[in-house]
Amino acid sequence: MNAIISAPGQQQGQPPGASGDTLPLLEVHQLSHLHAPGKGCENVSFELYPGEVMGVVGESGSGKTTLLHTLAGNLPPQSGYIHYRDRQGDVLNLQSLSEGEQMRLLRTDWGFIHQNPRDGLRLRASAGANIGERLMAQGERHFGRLREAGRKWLDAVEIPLSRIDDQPRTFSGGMQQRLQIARNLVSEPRLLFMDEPTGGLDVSVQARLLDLLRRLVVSLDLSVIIVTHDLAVARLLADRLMVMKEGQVVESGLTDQILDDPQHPYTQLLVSSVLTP
Amino acid sequence: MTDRPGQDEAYNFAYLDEQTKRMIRRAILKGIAIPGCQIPFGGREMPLPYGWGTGGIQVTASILGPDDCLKVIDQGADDTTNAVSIRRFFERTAGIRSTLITEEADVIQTRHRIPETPLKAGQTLVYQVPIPEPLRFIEPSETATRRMHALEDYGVMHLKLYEDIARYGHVSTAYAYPVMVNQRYVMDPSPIPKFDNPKLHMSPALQLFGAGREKRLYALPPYTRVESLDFEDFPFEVQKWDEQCALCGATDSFLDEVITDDEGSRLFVCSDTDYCQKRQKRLTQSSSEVRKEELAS
Amino acid sequence: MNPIARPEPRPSDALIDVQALNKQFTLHQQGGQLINALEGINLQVSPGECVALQGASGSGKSTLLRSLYANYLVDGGHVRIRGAADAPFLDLSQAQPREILQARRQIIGYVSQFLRVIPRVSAEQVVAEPLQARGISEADSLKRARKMLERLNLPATLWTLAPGTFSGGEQQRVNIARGFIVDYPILLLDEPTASLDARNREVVLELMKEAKQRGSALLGIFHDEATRDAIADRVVEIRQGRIV
Repeated sequence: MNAIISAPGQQQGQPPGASGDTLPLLEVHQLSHLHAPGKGCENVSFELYPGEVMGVVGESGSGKTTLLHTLAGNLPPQSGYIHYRDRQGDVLNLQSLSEGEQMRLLRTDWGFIHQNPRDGLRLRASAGANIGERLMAQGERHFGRLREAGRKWLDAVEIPLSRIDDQPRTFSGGMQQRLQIARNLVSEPRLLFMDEPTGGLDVSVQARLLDLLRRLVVSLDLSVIIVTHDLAVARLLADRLMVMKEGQVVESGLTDQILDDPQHPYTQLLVSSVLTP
Repeated sequence: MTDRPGQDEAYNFAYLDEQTKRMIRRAILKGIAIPGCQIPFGGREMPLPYGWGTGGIQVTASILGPDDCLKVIDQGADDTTNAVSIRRFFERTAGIRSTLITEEADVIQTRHRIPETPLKAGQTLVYQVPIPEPLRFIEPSETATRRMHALEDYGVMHLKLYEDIARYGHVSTAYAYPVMVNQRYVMDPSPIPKFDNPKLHMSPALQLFGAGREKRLYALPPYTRVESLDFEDFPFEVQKWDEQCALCGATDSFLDEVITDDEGSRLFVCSDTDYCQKRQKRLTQSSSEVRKEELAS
Repeated sequence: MNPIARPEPRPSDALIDVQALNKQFTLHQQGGQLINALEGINLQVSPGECVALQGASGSGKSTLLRSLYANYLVDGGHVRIRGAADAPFLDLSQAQPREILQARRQIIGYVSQFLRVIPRVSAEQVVAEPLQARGISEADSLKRARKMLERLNLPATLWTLAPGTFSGGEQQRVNIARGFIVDYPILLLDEPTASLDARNREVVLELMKEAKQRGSALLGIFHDEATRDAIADRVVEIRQGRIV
């Protein structure tokens, strides 16, 4: 496969045994996917390092969700490239991967949390089966171990173990969202995409979910790209932010710097429009 | 072609025209080359409705030769309406010989059973298939299921088994139990009881599957690995009966339950009529000791 | 490191090195109005030294502290920090977000007046978090967090509660505990003793003295004169964004 851009040995100046911290997990260069002029994302470039949580903020229609789907391989890039450094340290060019390789990457190394849990869950399969699906797709053929993984992850996302054989369509919205998270984390992904993960939830349920996400991100050393229009969510979860408007990134930087000292007129407008109780 | 004694001269040999048979044979060859992979073919209208074995009949018509001997079974029996009609159909349109005896047949068309008598090299078993797609239960879109086959994206198959075990403590699927063919394609073996699944594996006979409504066929060439999907800690198991056949005393065959009166009296008999009759014949011929011995075992 | 033109000699052991710092705010919401918050700031703080910033409200003291924490973007000049006198400087005006976050974990602590409350996270967790971010186990970090809260006289009954409902003084002590739980080489203090009673002010003073003795560089705004006189080695006065 010519998808491998460089192998670990070819990197210069990298001391052996140093943590991957100095090398980006994701390199995105001039990425575009436009549905129409100004609709979608245009020429987006950034690097994401291991353990970093990057928020993408902007109003609806700003192109942040299109960007997320293009990054996650759900939409084809019209130009630009995405390079991903895998567990072996090989840099993969996402567009040169075969459909099958891309699918496997998306279901093992990566995860995607949809805004609506219906899009990310099998509502008519039990909670345990939802959690076990990634493992089964990877070849796990031991029922007992699948049950164990189901219990472990239900516990991790604070769903009572007694619900393991219940179908998620009988769950509350917050519980469905937590199940979706468990279903993604079971394969121990390194990179998680989240699309408004707290959207559509009650405020008290949101707080619980945010707290859970915060703890999981830290304890599992996840890299995350989270799309949200909620600046409070961004402040709580993201290390750094990209602000998007009409498909373009207008400002990016450290989260608290962007929110406390916004430079771009649009960011200032966004920040000043937030209601604080 | 028209000099065959029993053939009705109004028909081309075996009903279908030669172009159609060639087209279907090409699809069959492709199916044999890619064991377990569903191959589309240009299905024709047949003089019987879908669900009565139009797929199997087109496959049989395409592979029959003038010297072939045909057996047709429906749920194991040679004497049901469907089996009799199909047998007579080919007797009339192809003038070929037919048989009720498994060993004598070159081609066996079947609905929902594999004969108990082991098949031999050179024999061909043709299955009538209602729904060829094993992934259909979870994914209604054909485009999506083809993608899943192409990418070997089969996690959902085990998801279904998982659900069964979680709910019932065992896999409840008893018919059309999905198999992995040659470690590549997941295949629906047609609605045979899972009792018959082990017979698919490494069979010396050629096995062809035809779905008339969906216009798909697939194949298992002789000696193909066919594994029933399972979990390490819940291995695949076939049905077992406490009873034995009331007619022949067999304990190793697939049994049908027959209700005999309004009081609910019942007995169990072999679903494979040829197998059962052979055993009954042998029993009447053999001495009473042998009979006792067989019944005792 | 990039060589920097030196307008005047500086102590070579400084942990904080601010050079010709400019900071402006452009208020796009108000017709692009320009505010010069800081102009030409030069400041160095050495290990074991405490510098107090003094000036009227709005003079730019807090802006300077926030610029040193990279909470505010630097428009001109350089803000350089380092964890030890022999370590290379990190220039905050040019650093990547992850380098700044790394510096905040390892080098630079910030104690502000107000706690940003995170829903559902208990007081002891809030305090222990900086330790865990440095890789210290949950059990050890919680133990140290409780010790620190105890020292700051926060009732033990409050430790496992989320500080959202605490009084202003209690929240501030949680924040102080969080700031002092790690031995940062650099400490930025934004009125750490405001709204504390005499007993707790004394504790904070002790904490700051200990930090100085360890060799930390302290830069703070001290509202309360007694505290300032007790801890500050130098006082730098800021008027209208300039050091006078």
